[in-house]
Amino acid sequence: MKAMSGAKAIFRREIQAGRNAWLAWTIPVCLLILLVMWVYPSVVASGAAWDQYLNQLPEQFRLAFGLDRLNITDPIGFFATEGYLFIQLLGGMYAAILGATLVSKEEAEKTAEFLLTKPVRRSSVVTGKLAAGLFYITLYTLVAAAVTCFSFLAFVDQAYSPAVLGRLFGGAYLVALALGALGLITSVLPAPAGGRLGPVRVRGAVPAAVGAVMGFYFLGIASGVSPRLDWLRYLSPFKYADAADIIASGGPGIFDVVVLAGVAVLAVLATYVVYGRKDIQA
Amino acid sequence: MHGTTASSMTSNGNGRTGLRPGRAAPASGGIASGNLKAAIETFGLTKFYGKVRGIVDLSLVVPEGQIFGFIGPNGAGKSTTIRTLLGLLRPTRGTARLLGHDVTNPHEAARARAQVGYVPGEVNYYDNLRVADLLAYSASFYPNGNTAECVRRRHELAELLDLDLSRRIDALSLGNRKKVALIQALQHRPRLLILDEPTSGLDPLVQARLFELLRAENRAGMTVFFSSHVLNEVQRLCDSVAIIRDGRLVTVEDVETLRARQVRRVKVTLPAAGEAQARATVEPLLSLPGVSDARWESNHTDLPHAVSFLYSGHPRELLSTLASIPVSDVLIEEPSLEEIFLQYYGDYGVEGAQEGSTEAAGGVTEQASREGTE
Repeated sequence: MKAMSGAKAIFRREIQAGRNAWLAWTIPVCLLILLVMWVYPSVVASGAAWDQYLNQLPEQFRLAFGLDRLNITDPIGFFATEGYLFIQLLGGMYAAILGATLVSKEEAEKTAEFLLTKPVRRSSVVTGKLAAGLFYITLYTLVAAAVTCFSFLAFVDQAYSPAVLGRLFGGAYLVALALGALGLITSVLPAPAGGRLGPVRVRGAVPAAVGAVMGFYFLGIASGVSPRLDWLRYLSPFKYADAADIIASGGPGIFDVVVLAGVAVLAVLATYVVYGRKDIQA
Repeated sequence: MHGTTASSMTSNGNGRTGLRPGRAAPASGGIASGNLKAAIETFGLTKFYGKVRGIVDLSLVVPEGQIFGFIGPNGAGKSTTIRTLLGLLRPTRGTARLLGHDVTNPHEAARARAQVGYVPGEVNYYDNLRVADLLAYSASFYPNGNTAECVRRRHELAELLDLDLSRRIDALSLGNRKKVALIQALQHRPRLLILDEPTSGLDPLVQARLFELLRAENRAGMTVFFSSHVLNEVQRLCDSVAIIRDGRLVTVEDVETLRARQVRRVKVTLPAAGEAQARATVEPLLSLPGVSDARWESNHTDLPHAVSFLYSGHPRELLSTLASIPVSDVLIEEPSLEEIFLQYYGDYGVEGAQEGSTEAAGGVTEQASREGTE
């Protein structure tokens, strides 16, 4: 075997190390998609009853979940409220956890001293790990999209637009990338002043990432409840790829894409800079 | 295996650069190949963690081809120096060169590290890997990593150190983890090996094998930079020794000079007798040249008396005097580093000198137990 570049060696190692986590996030989501679309035909069959049920829900609730604009008996509308929501939310959590732990776990588990004393530059470390994270987030999205397509083919007789499905997954992918990149930069920032040794806690990184993603998600929901809270939508990555927007108005728009991609790129660039200068403590 | 003769200590003492055979040629073919004089150079290297002192104004040259000891009490700044050299820490001021490469330049530093092996003080690896996988992962970063030669070397080292490569890292004892650290640092045949307190956790037999290994590698051209807080092991292994205390370099001496200054703490217990008589008994002992820091000790009943002192004179005179007086027990041991520093370098007006002197007054046992815990 010939020598590899440091980034490549790290990429391979992370691919190996991340396989089980990827399966643990992807398999449940795929099963959920299959389950949701499997019950879809029976929902359509009882269409009138469903509409009645939804119409009697509180106005705020309907607004919060975009039910005013989504037709739940339409296959894509149904998928958006029952399946896509979880693909987006769980994918966001998975991405944020990946981002928050990929680089920081080396410090938390004290293996940074091993890794960074190899003939490898910090930038290559970030590149290798970033590539592995990107690989798994992409794979998650692709597999979820493939299973969705399969379930539509298998269970849906009504007409639907594959292009809308494509836009939904494109949006979910961008949200996941932005959340992953935010996790990454947050995890490499030095500890607050005062401590001699930077407390990087990987045990804290996972709940923090989950909490942050849930927080973003509820910000998005809250923004829909009342026009007075509408400005909150700009704080939640999820609202840049909102299912109702995508289905009803052809989103995500240029603005949404630029914001999500811009956040991801800036956070990644900042990670290179910050991690490149960081003191790695014993 | 343990006994190191003076001749083996000095045989490669000033071998320096001319000694390196072709096989140790730098794989990257960098700027630094060939006629290097210094494996490590630091210029006014300073590192503060916020306001906390790491190292201050450290200027040091480690010639290539040597086994170079880096000794100081715990907290003196040994690890900070090493971690700065390896690029884990950014110096607050000053610069350092590793095999001729500027360690503050990420590109150059990585290039230098391609020819360096590092054994950390505290060994932490990916717990779920097998030893063999970890070593292959480690090797994959080096230009000559995972070549047939490197793999052969890995198995050779594992056999020498008696380590089972098929075991999982998390199942290894501290001593075995240390062996993994040694193999990952040596398998790619580095030009410079940096060891941070490598002997802690190793049993004496393995330690002796390690020293033999280091001497053999050194004869083949590898420079060894060896940090320790145990004077004795540095004296046994090294050609030169840099002494660091409170973040500052105290002195660099060749080991012969250091050995000439050999100092021992001697504790003599006397048979039951009155105090006056006891003092009279040991009078010839305490008046020997080279005796200092004598302290009287007594047990609860005030009997028997014991006296302990530092001795830097010739052993023969000590032994003949001991033979001529009635003693019930004699203990001769290596004093703590702090005691040695106070003896030879005094309080040289740096921070912590005060602390040093109170520690020295604390007594041998307390010192020894503290050394042992770290």
